[in-house]
Amino acid sequence: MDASASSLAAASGRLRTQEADDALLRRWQTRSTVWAASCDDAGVPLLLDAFDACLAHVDAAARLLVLDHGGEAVVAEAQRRGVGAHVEYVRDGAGARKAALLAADALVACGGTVGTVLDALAVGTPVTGIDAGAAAHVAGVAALLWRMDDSAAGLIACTIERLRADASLRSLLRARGHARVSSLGASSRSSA
Amino acid sequence: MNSDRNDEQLEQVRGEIRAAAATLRDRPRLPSSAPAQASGADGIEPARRRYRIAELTDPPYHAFVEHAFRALLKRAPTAAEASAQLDLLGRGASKAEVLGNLRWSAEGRRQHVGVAGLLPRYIVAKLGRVPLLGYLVEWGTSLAALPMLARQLRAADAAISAGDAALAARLQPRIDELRELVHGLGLARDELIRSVDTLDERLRAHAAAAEAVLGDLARRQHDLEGARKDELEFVRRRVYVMNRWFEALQGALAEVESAADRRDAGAREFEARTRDAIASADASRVARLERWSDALDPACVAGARIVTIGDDADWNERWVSKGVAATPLATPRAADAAALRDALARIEDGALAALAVLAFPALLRAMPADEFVAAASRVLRADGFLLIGFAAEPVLAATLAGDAVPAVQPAALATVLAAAGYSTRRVDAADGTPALLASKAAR
Amino acid sequence: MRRVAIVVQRCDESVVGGSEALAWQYARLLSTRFDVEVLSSTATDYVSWRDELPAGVRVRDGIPVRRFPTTFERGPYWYGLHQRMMLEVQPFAAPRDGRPLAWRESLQDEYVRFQGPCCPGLDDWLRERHGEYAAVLFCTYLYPTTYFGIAEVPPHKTLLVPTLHDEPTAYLPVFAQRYAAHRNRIWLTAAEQRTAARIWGYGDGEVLGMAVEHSESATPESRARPYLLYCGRIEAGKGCDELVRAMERIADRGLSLVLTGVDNMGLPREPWIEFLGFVDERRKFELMAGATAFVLPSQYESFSIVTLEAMAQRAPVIVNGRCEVMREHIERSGAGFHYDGIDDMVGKILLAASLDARERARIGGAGRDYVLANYREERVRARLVEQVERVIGARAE
Repeated sequence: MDASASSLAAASGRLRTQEADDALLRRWQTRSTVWAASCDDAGVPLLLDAFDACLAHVDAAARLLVLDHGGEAVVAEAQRRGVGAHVEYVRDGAGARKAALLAADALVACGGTVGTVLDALAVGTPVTGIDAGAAAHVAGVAALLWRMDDSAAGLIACTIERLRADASLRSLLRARGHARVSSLGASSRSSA
Repeated sequence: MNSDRNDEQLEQVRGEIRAAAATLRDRPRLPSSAPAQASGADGIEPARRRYRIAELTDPPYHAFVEHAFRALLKRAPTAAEASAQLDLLGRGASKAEVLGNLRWSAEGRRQHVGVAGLLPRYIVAKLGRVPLLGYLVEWGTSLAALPMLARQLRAADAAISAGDAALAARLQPRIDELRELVHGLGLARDELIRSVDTLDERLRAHAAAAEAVLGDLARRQHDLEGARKDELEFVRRRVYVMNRWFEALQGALAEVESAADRRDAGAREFEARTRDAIASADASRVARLERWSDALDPACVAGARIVTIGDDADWNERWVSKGVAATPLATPRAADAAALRDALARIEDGALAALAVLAFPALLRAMPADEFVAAASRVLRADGFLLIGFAAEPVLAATLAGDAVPAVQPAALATVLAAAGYSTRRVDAADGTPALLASKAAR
Repeated sequence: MRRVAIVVQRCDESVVGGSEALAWQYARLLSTRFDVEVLSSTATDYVSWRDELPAGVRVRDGIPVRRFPTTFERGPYWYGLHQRMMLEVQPFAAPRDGRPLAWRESLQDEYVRFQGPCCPGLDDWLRERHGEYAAVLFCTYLYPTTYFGIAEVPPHKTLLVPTLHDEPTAYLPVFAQRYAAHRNRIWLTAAEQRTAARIWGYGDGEVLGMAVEHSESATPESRARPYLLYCGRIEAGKGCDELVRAMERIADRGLSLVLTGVDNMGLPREPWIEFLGFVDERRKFELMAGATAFVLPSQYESFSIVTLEAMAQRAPVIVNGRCEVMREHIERSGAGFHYDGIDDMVGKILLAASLDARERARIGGAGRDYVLANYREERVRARLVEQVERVIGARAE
């Protein structure tokens, strides 16, 4: 897994020099709360519970941008819950993915993919979510993760609220993320 | 080491997040809302109605214009609008002026966004750009009110900024009125500038037309210059000719005059010589003068003044020896009228004890009788005497010199004197030469 | 000998630029005491940051210069970001309501990275090799070489020379955040230090400045027609358009404008404008020594060595008073005039042109004294070495 993470990290490093889709960036970039998310099927209910909590108690104008293939399921469930207007599926395309990560306050990983988490760390977007799966493992101490239990949804909502208010916390996570991607990328280079 | 400290920090943060999450559900449920539009990114805050001026003026150049539109008009500028405002800045307009233009445009007034401190700056900026002195004079009165308005508005702005909501509510309508007024003045001024510009344009057109006419004239002048030179030469020659003619005429006249003078002098000399000859041959002359001087004696005491018209040196010597101031005036010829009048006019009023004319008919050549009597009345004292003799020698000499001497009868002269308020008596000489002694004093 | 790295965005003989000149001077001054290596990009054009020079090590005047390739040229993507940044960041740099900017830090990073020169190889080098250097000096806060590079080196080993200007980009919060930990700083002027305190919230560090060449020109330029001199990049951003406009107004006064450097603006063809292109130092000093006045119309200057050089050549100087640094030079030295706006600029030019020989000599002398007192090479070298020694002596906390 480390070898694949290394090559993914090298790819994520290259995302830094990939231009974001500027039109999408303009659309998503607001002063209100913006979540980017990566999740697998199992993570959908938790992600939406957490986002619901955010809409209900933190920021009613928040937006959720779902990357990766879990996005369709999330949008469908969001529509069923009546918050469909707030949720958007970011289809493939490095420019769009990067725009979502640059506009977001944080990436929420509920399961999700290793590549997306590494992308977020590479461009300097803080990562939070559930401490489970390969994505969580690859983020390591660079992410602020929570155990999967009943309180997880509220914890994720409050983590993003805290991140928006705490520059030094963001700074710490960004630095760790950068170091994480760099070290993984370096092992990729040295093995090459 | 550093990493440990960061881990500690992170652990503390996790604790705080847990605490926040524990009470998250206790927070009031937010009313549902649409997802945020990209307005924040575009810099438009639709709900925000008040700004500090520094917030708007701080951004540089391009950002300033973009931000000003978003803050004051709640929209982004079009490319043309942005470039127009940048152009204005480029031409030296202050940011306050650009902000004021936007804020008090029709659109800006509809948005009605408050910018504390903008108005006075705007007014100052606008005043600073007043371009024409004429305009200043014309609008001086209106503009003189502006600083006062500015003070009021500053005060109002300050009060509102201080958050006195009640005061603000009371003042707001007044402020709006004042702002409208100021804006109105601004519009009027703009209109005036436009009129002045039009006028200026017209003046320029006139000036251009005048210049064209002058150019035409200059051309014609150039064309005519040669001909005109000839004409001038002709006139100049004529003037020279006339000048010479006048000089000749003056010479001729002078000659005529000097000939006349010579003849007059000759006539005078002849008359005087003839008179002296007749007088020296006249044996009764001394007795005659004696008689007449006796008649004047009562008035002519020492210190008195007597004026005699006639060329009789012995007569005057007679009075001088008595201590009387005697002044002779030569027997006037016709040409001496002015000199005689002048001489009489120089005698003060009521100064003379006696005025004597020894050959009255000869005097008449220069002065009519009534004029002489009037002059005598003025210069004689109230008790003075007027002696009018009818001696023959001067009359004879004048006649011999060719001067016509009018004949006059003493009785006729007595009538004239009586009419002038004189009483007269005859003081004829022993040889029969008539004389009248006239006075106004009742004796 | 201990190795010291100096990181700067460009380094080449052909490069005209204040902070590049500064970095090279510091490299030269330090090379007598340390084993200095310059780390830089392969770019020479500061607009496109094109990958132009060969990557790898070349020795320049005995000092090795290690260049890393730039990965892309600046393009429309960055210009789009730049336009929005100008609009959105500065007015809200200190959000009033506690909410974060719409520009998240990741996007601010993106802005800095795409501004260029983007040299990931340099970052990797510093991350992997910083242990080989006793100290790393970073020059110019603005560029990715410093912004990303400094993050790879432990703060106690870094010495930052920000060359900060009060410009919109300086208000991006990530700069203040990133450099807060890097406390060894060298400011060029007290004005720059104050600017940092105002914009970034901290200003600790040493005011050191830069050594200025002060040997007097043996053959001052002598011309029948008096001239104003400008040396450097000729572009609107440097205020050159305003300078030309000002001179246009007094074109009938018999004064000409002589410019040296690179014309990025497209100077108008006028009989009173003389563009000499790139001239060598000796020629530059001759022109300075003979000028009616030296003009620096730029509003964004963090030091302006060229102005101080002109002062050392006894030329009265005219500077843009809206630039705090330049105003401070004038106010402290009495070496000329500062103006506010184009009307005032015209006035000051005419004033300088009307100085009699005695007055000009007095002003010129004041400028030279100022330069000798503050910016003599020996003095700057001693203080710079002291700073580097302090950094080397420091230990990680």
